[in-house]
Amino acid sequence: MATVKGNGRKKRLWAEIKGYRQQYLMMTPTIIMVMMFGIYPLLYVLYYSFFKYDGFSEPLFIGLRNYVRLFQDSTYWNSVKNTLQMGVAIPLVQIPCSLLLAVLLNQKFRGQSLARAVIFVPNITSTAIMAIVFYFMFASYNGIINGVLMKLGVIDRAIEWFGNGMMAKTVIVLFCTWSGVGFYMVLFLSALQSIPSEVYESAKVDGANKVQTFFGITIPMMGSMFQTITALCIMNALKLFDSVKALTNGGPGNSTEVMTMYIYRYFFETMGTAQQGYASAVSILSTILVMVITLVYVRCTRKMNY
Amino acid sequence: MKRMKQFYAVVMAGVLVLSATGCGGSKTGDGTTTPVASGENAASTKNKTESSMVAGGVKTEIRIWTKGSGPDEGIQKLIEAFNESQEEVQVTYEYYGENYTSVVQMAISGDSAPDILECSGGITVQTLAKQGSLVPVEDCVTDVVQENYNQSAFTPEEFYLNGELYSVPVRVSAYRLLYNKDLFEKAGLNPEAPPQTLEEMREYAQKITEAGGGETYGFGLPLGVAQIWERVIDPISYATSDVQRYGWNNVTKSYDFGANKKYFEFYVDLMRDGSLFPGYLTLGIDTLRANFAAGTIGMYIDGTWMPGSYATQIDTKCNWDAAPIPVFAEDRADKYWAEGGVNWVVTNGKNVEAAKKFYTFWLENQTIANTYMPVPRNDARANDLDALGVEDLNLQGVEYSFKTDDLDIPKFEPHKFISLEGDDRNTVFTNLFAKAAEGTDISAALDVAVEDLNKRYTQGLKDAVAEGNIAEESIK
Repeated sequence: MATVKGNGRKKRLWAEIKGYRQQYLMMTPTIIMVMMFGIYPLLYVLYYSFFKYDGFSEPLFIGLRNYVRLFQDSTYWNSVKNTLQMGVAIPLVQIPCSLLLAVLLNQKFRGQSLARAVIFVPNITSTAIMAIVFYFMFASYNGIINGVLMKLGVIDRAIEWFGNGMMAKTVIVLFCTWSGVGFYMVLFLSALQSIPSEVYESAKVDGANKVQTFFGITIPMMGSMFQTITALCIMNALKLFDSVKALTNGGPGNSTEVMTMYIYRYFFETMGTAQQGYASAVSILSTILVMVITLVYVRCTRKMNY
Repeated sequence: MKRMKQFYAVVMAGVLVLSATGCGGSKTGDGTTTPVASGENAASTKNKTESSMVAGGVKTEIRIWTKGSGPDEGIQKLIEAFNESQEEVQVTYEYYGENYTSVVQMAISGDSAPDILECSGGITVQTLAKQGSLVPVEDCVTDVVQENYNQSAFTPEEFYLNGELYSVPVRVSAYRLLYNKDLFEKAGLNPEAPPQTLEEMREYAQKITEAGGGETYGFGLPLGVAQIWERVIDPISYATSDVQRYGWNNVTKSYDFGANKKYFEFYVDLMRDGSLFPGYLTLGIDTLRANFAAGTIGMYIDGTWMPGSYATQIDTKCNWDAAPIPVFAEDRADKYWAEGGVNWVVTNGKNVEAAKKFYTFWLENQTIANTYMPVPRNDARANDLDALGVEDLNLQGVEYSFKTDDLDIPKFEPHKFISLEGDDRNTVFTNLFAKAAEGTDISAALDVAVEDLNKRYTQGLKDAVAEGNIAEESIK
């Protein structure tokens, strides 16, 4: 009896695979690449996190010593703090800006397509190049931002935009908002366009004004998309690297150093012998932290799935 | 129809897989990027093309890998001269920039290392020699090389293993004070009399800043450079005391970062005077050099390789010169720190004899390289200003940049072999400087930081000795 049932299940499974073989075939390269360039390196890094390894000499097994050191490393936890600050500040600014732009550009007016394209352009430009341009714009010597503000009489001497951690983080948030708002705007646009127009018409008939319509209908009906977009935004902010590297290089001091930069430093930039074993441990813990934050966010916002 | 769909699915899957492999390339010495076919590399593709063009005879192909971020005309011309001088060996070189360390690591692991490679970016001669990846190069040190080379080029222990020599650095790199003679004149200072003492340097920096009216500043301190304190503290400490780089006291064989304090405080005073070029906390070296070339910075400290770079790569709009780095009035400068640069090694591959033939030519003919990329070299003949042959270049700052008789290359520097736990000296000092820039009194924090640095570096040293990375004799 059990054999008959087992054979039946196998037959059904095989029939299903056969029925969807085109789809499985199309997925195969992606699965191979994820295994080769995602899963395998992750396991490789996990392995070396238990070793003292400089990339050339024989690795020396040290057990959990890298992790013990990591938990006592105040510079790493400073980078975690900086990362979390970015993870909160960037979405807080980027999401409302993207949503507002999406609502405005969802209306038909002359130049709508051009406006959408212009706002999206930063997404197809190299982040590092844009960050370098921002660096020069906000430079305290001959920077255009200071020049304009002084000309307008807003300030009477140049601001040291990268002079302290808080100011430098503000510039980073501004840059990330400007460079990323186009992408999220496009996602919000598609969410807005999926809301049936009859709902708006009914609300209009019932006498709802624009603000009531926005908060009572638009936002709730975008629920699951809103959750996804915000999760993407938070994860991207937690993985920041190229913009911080080009804008501040973690400075002044290491007041803007984020987790990814800390990992990079120990893999490639340490004075003396490289510490790839320690950097591997840092990578693993950082990955776990990002996963935990993402899971907590998804759990807390599951009611947004409408 | 269904079968056609399946066929297309298989074809597209195959195209996807193929497009993900066989991409990328390396940069060859002529500056072009050569696409890398899977299973080959650019050099072998290029070499195969070249050797097929050679009529008769098969040349041995030698590959050299360097860390440069762009083509070095000096290296290219020297390689051309070698290739033209004989028929048996053909040399090409590739530069990898920031990817160099990881590329070399993979090549060595995969037994596809080049015949000659540059040891830099964390790759040390001793590590590779211990692995058996290198061959000694003593037989390449001919009488010509012995007679003409700065003898301290052969002293660093890091180029030896078990008494055998594995690398001979061809360049000698040190730090000098670079100063803008036009700004000196504008501030009422003698452009031919750079500061001799740090006290004078501070005074001159203030005068240049005052005369600049917000357009020019007295001193450039690029704290965006990770190793900045290695440039602006260590050479002075080395010249005036027993404390070498990174706090290593070579007489007591112990760490003493306390000796760095007075220099650090000097730069904090410069900052408080308002003499530093703005944006110093995140200022990178390239931005600093661009501003110096544009004539907005009075003085800064940079490497002796800069005259060549300013002459060949950066459009300099000011008259400038190089001078020895000033020291405090109470101190006396002896020999300034230097290091041997461009440490090439010969790998233990199948073309050892051919590679050594080139290596010998490389050591004996640095003058050729210097006529195209003038930098101070260990071969005294190459540093002869008349031999530089660079009449068309705006070559400034040569007198002190090519002067090597007041330089000393240390025999042993432990910080290169230490795996340090926590922030290194540079990061600690930059963080403190940032706090000082906010107006915080850092004197107590500086004392704590110095004590912590001594403790951690000493522990790192003990661990390095225990793991065999540093020989006990080196620290006795």
